[in-house]
Amino acid sequence: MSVFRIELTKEEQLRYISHLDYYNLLQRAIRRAKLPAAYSEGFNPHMKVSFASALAVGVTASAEYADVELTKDICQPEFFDKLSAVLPAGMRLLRVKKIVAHQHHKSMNALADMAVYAIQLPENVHSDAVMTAVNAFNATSEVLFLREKTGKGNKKGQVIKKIINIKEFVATDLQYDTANNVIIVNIKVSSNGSIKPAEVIASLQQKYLLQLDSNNILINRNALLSAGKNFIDLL
Amino acid sequence: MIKISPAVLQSVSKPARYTGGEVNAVHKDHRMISCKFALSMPDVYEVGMSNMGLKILYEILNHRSDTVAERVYTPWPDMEMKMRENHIPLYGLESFTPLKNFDFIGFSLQYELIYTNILNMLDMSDIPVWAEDRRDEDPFIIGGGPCVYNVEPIADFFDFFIVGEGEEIIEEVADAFIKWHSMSKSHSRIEFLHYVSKIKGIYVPSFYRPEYNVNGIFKELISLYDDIPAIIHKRVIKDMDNVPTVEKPVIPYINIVHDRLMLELFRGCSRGCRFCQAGIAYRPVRERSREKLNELTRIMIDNTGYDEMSLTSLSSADYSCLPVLIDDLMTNYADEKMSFSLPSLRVDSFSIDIAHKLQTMRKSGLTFAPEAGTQRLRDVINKGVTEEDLLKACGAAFKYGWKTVKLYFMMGLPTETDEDIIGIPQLAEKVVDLYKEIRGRRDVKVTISVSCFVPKAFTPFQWFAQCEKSEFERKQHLLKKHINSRAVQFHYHDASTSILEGIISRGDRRLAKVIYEAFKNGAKFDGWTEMFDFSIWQEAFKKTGIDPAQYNLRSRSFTEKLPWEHTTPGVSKRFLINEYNKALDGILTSDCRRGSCIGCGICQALNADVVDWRRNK
Ligand code: SF4
Repeated sequence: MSVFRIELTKEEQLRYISHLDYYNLLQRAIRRAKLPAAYSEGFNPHMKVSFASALAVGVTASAEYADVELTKDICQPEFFDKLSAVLPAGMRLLRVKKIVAHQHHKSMNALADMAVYAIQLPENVHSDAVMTAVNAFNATSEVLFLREKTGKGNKKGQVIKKIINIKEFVATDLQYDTANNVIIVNIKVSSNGSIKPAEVIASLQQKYLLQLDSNNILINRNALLSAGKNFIDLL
Repeated sequence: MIKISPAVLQSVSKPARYTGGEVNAVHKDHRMISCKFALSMPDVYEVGMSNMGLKILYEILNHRSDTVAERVYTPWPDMEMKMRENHIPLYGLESFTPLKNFDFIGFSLQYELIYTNILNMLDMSDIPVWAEDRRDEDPFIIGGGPCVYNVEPIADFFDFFIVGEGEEIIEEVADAFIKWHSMSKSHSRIEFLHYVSKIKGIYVPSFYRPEYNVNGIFKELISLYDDIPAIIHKRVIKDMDNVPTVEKPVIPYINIVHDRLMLELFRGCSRGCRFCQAGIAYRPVRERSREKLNELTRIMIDNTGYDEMSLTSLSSADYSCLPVLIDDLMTNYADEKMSFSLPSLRVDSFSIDIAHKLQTMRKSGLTFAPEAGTQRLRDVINKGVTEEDLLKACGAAFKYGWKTVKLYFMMGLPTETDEDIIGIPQLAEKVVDLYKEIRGRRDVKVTISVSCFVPKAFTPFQWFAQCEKSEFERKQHLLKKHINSRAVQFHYHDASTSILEGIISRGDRRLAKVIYEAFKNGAKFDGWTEMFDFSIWQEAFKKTGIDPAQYNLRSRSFTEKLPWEHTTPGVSKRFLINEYNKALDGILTSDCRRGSCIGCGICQALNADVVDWRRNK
């Protein structure tokens, strides 16, 4: 048995697929690569692949992380080459590290504490207006936002509303790169919940009357960190 | 090349339907290509991507270095709106080339209720919807698939049709086009149509003119040229082992309707259910060998990484080598955690044993299709299934641990009485009782799903009148009233979609006006219950002055010429009449698959033969 941690991208071609679709893509690629993947027991076996986080539809990522368990021990270059060769467009393998058996590894999901997002604003938005909104956002301690979700399970069909303070989930000040028209936001990730980058934009729009077409922004997750380190360096 | 902005994509549902780039999609430089096909199923991506026929043609055409095939499906209305707003024409998913720039647009005609989508797609591509309005530079619009056995209602929208199985003829069309294109001086549409009409199985509707009697009933189809066939017989593949097929299917990024590999065990089914058009359309039965199927399985799994495969065919349990094939698959792919499934089950315990073997534990519901509630009516439709068969099959399933059974029926079948309708819930309740008897518990669920019967061309029931809407509704109500057990659930649909299907499926060329009118008034995705608006159609009939009742509610006589007889699967009319009479007398007809020929005439007409490994031994 061996476990590999992989760092891979979710690029433009894959922007509009869900986390589950992305997971399926990787899983099929592992099968095409004929890597000796490990499966769960039982009558409905699942490939043992676990992701650090689930990325939303519409968001690309410079680095996704997954742990892949194999039934055999193979060497890192073999793993890297075989998987790289079969990945679809928009999914590039950046780094692979074997997790050494004695290395105690907690699930990445539990370790992740911060995500860095870059939000590309549309061309037609005025940078002064963005700057003003960002400054105001950074200066205040509370930005309330009404989150609406459609319920699941026995609350199916219902709209569940909840007021959240966006600022509680933002780790540092928003940075606005005027030259590229990009807002960088560091969002705290924890088991107590988190917020989506789109919600940061929505709150900027609502509270500071920032005029922009929210369908026309492009979001990329630049990094996913645990105590300031990415998940490959963490090992 | 068309570019679609994120502002458009992020404002519609499931944008990945429109962005292409999937694994195994084939991208070619159009400048190096002599013949460009856009292949379409005029339905939403998830449905269209699941179509087997198009997957086959996609690979055959793309295998050629001189030809390209791309995919295009119907944009969901939210996307259609955005595309129209932003003046984005419809495009091929591989190169984002506007459809207008292709040489052929091929539509797979799976059912009548997607016809308005075809018109809408042409309109979105800025291609004239009426064939006669198209100019030399427009693509040729071609159709194929099960609906070709009566294409008259849409004949005026198409340049030509491919009748029957497409594997060989599609290449002949490509060859003809490339040759004509290099030779022709005029490049006129009609010149190519004459050229392509020489290929066996091609129907060019504009070369024929229908005539009608004074009473408004179809009289005959006149050939306008001497050198075109009066009857177009379907094309048929004689050797299923040596015909190119799917080896490297496109793997969608998003979940589609049939998100698994499909292994076609054989083509055709000759059980002879009298309501079934597919049973006639795909005769004779032709099996693939076990060796070939094992080979295809390996190739497809290696090329895709899928962990699920469906063993498809019209009645997969009839495959002569099924037990050994399944043993092969289960042994060869145990380590790879493959799961295999059968899409349809025969009503017998053999099928249950197989289903049990395939999905050892996942006891998702089982589906059987007794089709009618009484033995009398099952004999009328030649469904060789008895109550005993059904109870035996269910009993076997219950012993293995299944507790959900779905039973498919039809209502509105010829000779049907109220007794036959009441027989449906009665049969379901017998299944419920059987469960209690076997398991000593009550946690069973039996769902009866009842569809409204649509008589189809080239079946023994093609002469029968369809039920009226009110009669269907009365029957639905009657059935509901007779359900006593809470374990029985009843599913049915609004009858009006079946009524429309009934009108179009036995319609003639004059219906084109109605379909056009309905499309103009916003009819689209008519097969989707939530999108279907019957009032648009009623309005269209009124406006065009066409009485729909003459198509669906009228019994036809044997002497009447039928508007669809010239695009034929090769079945003899005498056989169909004979079957009609036997139906009325409740006499069964046997299966020719392993027994003797029962004289449907298809093998003779097509110079083809049954291929069944058990019979041929
Ligand atoms: S011609 Fe005879 S053998 Fe061939 S499909 Fe018809 S009944 Fe069967």
